[in-house]
Amino acid sequence: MALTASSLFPSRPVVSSVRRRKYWRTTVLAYAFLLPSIILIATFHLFSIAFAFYISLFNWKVIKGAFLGFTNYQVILGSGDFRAALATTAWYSLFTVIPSMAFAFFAAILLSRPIKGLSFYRTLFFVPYVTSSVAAAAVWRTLFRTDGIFSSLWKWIGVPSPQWLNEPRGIFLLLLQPLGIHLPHWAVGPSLAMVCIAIMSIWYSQGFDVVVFLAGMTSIPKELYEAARLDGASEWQVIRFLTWPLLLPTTFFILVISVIGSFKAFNQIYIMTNGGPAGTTTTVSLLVYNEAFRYGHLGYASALAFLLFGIILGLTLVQFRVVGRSARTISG
Amino acid sequence: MPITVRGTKVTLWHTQSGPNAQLLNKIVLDFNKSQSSYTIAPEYKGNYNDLYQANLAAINAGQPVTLSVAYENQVAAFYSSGLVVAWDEYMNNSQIGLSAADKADFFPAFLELGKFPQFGNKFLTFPFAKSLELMWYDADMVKQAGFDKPPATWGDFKTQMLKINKTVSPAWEFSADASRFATWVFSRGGDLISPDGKTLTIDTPEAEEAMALLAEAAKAKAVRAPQGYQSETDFEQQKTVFYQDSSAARSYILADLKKAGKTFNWTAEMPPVGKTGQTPRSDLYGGNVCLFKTSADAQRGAWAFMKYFSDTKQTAAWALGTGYVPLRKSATETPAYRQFLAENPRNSVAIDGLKYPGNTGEPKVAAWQQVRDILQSMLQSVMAGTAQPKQALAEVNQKANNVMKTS
Repeated sequence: MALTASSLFPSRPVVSSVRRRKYWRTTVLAYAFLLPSIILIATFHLFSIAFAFYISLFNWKVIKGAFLGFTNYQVILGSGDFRAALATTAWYSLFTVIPSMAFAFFAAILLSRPIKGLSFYRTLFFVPYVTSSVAAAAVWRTLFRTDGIFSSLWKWIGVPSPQWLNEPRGIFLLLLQPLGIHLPHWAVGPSLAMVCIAIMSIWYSQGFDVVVFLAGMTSIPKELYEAARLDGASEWQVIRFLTWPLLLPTTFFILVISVIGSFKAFNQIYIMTNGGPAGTTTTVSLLVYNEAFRYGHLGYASALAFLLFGIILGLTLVQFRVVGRSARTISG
Repeated sequence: MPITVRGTKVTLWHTQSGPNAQLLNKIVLDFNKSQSSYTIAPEYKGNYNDLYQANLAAINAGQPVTLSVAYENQVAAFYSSGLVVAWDEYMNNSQIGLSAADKADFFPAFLELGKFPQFGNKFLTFPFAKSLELMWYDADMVKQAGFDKPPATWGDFKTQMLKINKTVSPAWEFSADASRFATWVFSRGGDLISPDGKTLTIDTPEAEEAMALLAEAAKAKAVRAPQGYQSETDFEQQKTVFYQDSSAARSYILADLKKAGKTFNWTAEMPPVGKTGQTPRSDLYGGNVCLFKTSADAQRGAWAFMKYFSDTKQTAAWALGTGYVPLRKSATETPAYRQFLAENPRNSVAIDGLKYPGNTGEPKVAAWQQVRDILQSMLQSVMAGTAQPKQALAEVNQKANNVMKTS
């Protein structure tokens, strides 16, 4: 009998079969463990999303009406209310994301230093984030009342108190009008009420942003700092030319998460102004809520929600292409 | 509330909490004990908006409750979708309905309020927790300013308000809400919808007059419309003199002042009228009960309960315990209510006010909730000076009627 590989190693097919069995057993086991989560996600997420899309194709007011196809989407795209809500959302995003990241970056730098009571300060920054956003917004609403603490402070200084959450006029208009500068309608900016909500949101999001920045800082090798200091770099130069560029991937991550969060923001706006005054804080999220749960326009609201999802997805992709690429290039 | 079910169970979704809910539960228990065919099961579902959401969910799950508190505009949407039953067949039933004497005993406005002209005047909403918008005054401040009585017309109001504003600013407060606008229009003799219930009439001369006054008061920094209940608090703390709110606010004001140990002369009147000699007229608001299509037996049980609830004894007890107005005239003649009025003469304003024939509710159309939000935005814009009253009214009228067409 001639010697062949198969005769020399007769056990190979057996090994392969064992491996295959093991592979299948592992795979089946993995899916078995995943199954409860898959069922939950499929039931409460995927089915809900698919059903919401189905609803968006109908004239669904209180109950299912006529099939409309994409008419709800067309109506929304031509709606002045939607455009106004989108502009309000964009202002909110701009007034929360950038200041919040800037504050958090510098706070993280301070909190990365070996100062006394570091744990206390770090906890202090994180406390708002673990507080219920509804409860926090209710407290801020009280602070911004026309007889609240901020108004009292203004009166104490001797300046007439603004109307805070009741003020529908634009912030740039309010700042520049006393100087005799008159602005066109499109340049008045978000209402003071919206700025008040943005202040609350910045306060609220600091905990998350700071923690992520701090985590990013720990990944920067200490040798780089030592080398920079040996080369005579000042503290500002270290932040500007070392910390900042090396934190760009972290910054990008926070940017993406914050922009998504700002476009989905609901709780603080609902609690603090409920979309008022004069509709100046009605964001797209609030519009979805109003249409669905106050006016009973379930089909229209579902279509709005899908358009909002599309906008957020589009913005995220743009950020990945434009900012994400730069962040990767600079950080090396 | 734990309920032992006997006969057919009839669920009632409502918005009453605290002492009001306790009283409602007591009335329900008394009804359940009084017969064995039906068991009413009351359930608190949050505020009116929470309740509306609960109804939307129940309807889409195919399991609406039999009885639910709702606003007229919500019921209009339910009826358009074929979900609710008119009360007429029960109310007018010769065996189980209301007698002619019973109907005559109801304050006429409540029986009118339940009729929906766009649906052939079908009676779709049964009155439940009703109140009337009033103008509340700090009588001491009015007197100090040299006026011997509260303003009778809106012209008098303007004079008093602007003069008083020199000492107490802002002299006029309310929460910015479409119900305020409705009262201003109704009290001047105007209406917000055509008699056939098909066209909203927002830009009437009465509305223009009202908005012009608001703009003038805002320019003089004599008016403020803070969020929530701040205007009520400001009135209690004498930070403002004129305050518009529901007649049901009386019990809250009394309780707050008692708690704070504060006393001053305050009162309420029907809102001023447009011209001298005009009959006072205000906005009737509050929750109603609608009857969802469930089973014939449950629907009969629901009617049996509403008939019991609106009977003299129960409606008097309900009004006394909650601050809402009673549904029947005879309730005000009961010894308990007479004693209450003797001890709380301020409350007779709302009762006397109900006797005026012109009191009415806001438009009973599905679009109204959305239009209310548009109106609220307009009020805030006019007060901030970012919109001109006449132009704003014309725009709102067009927008409101567009909403009507698509609702």
